[in-house]
Amino acid sequence: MLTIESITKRYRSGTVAINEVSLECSAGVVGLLGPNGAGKTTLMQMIVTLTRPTSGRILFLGRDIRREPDFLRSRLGFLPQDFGVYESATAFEFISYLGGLKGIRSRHKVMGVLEAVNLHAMAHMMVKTFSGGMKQRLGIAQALVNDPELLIVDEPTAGLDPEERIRFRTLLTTLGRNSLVIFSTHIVSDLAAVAGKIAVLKKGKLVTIGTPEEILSSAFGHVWEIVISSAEFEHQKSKLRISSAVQKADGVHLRFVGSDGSSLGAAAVEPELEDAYLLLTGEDVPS
Amino acid sequence: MMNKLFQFRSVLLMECTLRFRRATTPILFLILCGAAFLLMPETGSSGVMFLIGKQRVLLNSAATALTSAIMGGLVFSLVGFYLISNSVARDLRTGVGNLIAATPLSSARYLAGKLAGNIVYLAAMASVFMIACMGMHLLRGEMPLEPIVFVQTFAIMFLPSIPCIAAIALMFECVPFLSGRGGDVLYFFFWTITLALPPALVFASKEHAWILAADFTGMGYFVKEIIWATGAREFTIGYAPYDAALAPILFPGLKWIPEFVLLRLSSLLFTIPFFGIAWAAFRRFDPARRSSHEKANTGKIARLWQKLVSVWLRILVPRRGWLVGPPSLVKAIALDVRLTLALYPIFFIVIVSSFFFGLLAPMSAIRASVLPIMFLILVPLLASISTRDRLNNTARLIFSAPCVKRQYVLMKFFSGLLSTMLVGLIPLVRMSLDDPFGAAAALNGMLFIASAATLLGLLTGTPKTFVVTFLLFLYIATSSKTVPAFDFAGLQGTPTPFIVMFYAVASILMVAAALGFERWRMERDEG
Repeated sequence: MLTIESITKRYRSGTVAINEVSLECSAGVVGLLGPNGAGKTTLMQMIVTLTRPTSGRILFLGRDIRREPDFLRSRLGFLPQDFGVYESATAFEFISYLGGLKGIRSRHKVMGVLEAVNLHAMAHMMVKTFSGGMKQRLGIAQALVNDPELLIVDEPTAGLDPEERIRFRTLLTTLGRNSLVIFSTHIVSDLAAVAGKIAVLKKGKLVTIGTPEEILSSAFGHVWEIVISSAEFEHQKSKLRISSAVQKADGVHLRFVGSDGSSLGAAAVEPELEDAYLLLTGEDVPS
Repeated sequence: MMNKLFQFRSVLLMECTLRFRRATTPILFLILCGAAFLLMPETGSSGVMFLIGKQRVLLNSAATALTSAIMGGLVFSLVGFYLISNSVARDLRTGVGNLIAATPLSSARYLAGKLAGNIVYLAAMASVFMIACMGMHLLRGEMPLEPIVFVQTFAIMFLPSIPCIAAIALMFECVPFLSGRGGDVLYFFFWTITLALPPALVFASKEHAWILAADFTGMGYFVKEIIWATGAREFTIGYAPYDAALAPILFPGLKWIPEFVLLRLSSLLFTIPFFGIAWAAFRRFDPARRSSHEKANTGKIARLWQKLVSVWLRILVPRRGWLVGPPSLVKAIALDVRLTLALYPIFFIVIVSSFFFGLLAPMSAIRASVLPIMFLILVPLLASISTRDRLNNTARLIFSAPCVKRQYVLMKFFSGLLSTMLVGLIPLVRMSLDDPFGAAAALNGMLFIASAATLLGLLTGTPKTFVVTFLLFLYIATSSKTVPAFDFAGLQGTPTPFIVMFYAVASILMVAAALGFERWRMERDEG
């Protein structure tokens, strides 16, 4: 469905945001993981034709999107991380507008998508009266209004309350049955719940891509747990790649990743996706 | 095809919805009605708006329509530009541009929709103004109202000028070095030239067809028509006293010479190249190309310049020393000026240039050239000082600092005044040695510009209000040599103590109004 052939994005300043990344994705939910500055947003901006790759090409359903950008755009739903809304438009007007630009004329369709994100009761209210979470849902609605074959969402769950997050994850899973959903987030648990495949980026390069199980299996034998004193924790914390540290009555319950924790007396435990992410990127686990 | 039209319609509709729904739109309609009222003095008052020689022109529909269309055209070509030159910038600022860029809407259709939306908005403004002028004619006209004459005259003025202004505004938004507040000032120069050049050439009988065709403001065309219709080469459009002993003249109306009309309508074609440039320069919200423009000052020269600025700043406003210690209003003002200097390195060039010109220029040039140019350059800078905190969402952060929230208006006012003084200090000192009253008037002008920037910036939240209002005022002040009431800073050398006092009181009242407004807003926000 979507083929990325060794694309590179080099800015005029010389910064290489994406370096020779290749990917092949079919229908389903693909999660993009990576620390800040890994190039996730740039990669998505290239896929949605917002910016052009310096080299390489991107094919959607076999068509080069640089040559035929409208072929992709008419099948695309996009929710960027830093999108905005027209404050003095109503939710209905805003979705009708962006729907109109995508060729959607049906009022029922607009109302339907507002219902899908639980905003139908506020359809004729001005967007300036909306909370941050409601605006985020409005952003999700505009991305879905044309029944996209390719949905790209960058940090979509930021600002959503737990109930809406679950609702959105369910929505993505449903969409992923027939479409390709590329979902970038810092919240690893969100990905674990919906992604069929996870791609990990670091410093503009693709570190790995695989199913959550494959990613997890790469961390087997590398995740450790130990209970240590607070003083010992202060001594060790700069030396270890810590996945979590919880202060309890008996000391600090420390979970860390690395090749050998047994020398510290730690016990190997079953890895979680966050541990695998930490191991792959060598960065702190995002909160 | 239908889809393309539907997309165009969507952009147009949204543009109109957003513009007409703004709270400022009904206020603008009211201002236009007020302007129509001021444009038609009562019969029997000492001045009129249309004179041929020293004779007043009888207020028939042709004369009223002509004067109101010319005055409206003059103001619309300036104010209209600033009103509408934010449609692409709005999409960029709000982030909606990212969403639009990912749709199949082509750049040309997007810009065409924006252009059409801006045309509709300006046309609505012009229509309201025309209707208000017709209403005033009913009240104060000396002959019956002829609506067709009004419609014809307004059409020949605005039909070519509105699309041209809309396309120029779009071009200024899309071309990187024309966008922003520097572009706002550049447009003012462009406007003064396009306003003055065609009539001057017509008066000198040196008009060329292409110059009249390029005369999108319509001033050259109307001057030509008036000369043709009346045979007079000496006439005044704009408030002026008349000789009551002379009988009023009947203006026969425009002759509608076909070649003149065709030439006038041909200026409509200038919309195409302006739109073309906008389209060619439009980057479709590409973040890579956008940031390369925004980060254009990362080269070696720019870095060297920034270092020089840092050294200068350390000397002028040191971080340590007197700035350390308990917070106070004075320190907050100094830090705000420091921020202005750091944000706009070009400000240094202005200060240094003003220093040298103030020292070396002859006294006559200081008043006639250095001070007006100084005020002109200060306009975008002062507009930014009072609006940047709210525009960049840093106001709440700043308010959390001690001594700022309750004294925010004073901080912004004195920051603007101090910045103005940094530029104007040397010319002021020179003037005070030669002409102490002139220096006092110039100082008063600085007070006036700083207080106006503070009030309009805080009141409207956008720098454009002050930019457009003050540029228009500056234009009137520098071109109305016979009306000393506009001489706010002694630029014409004609201020009386009463005028100086008037502008000083106006400045104080504006600061007081800003204080009252900000207090009301804070109380409202705090619940």
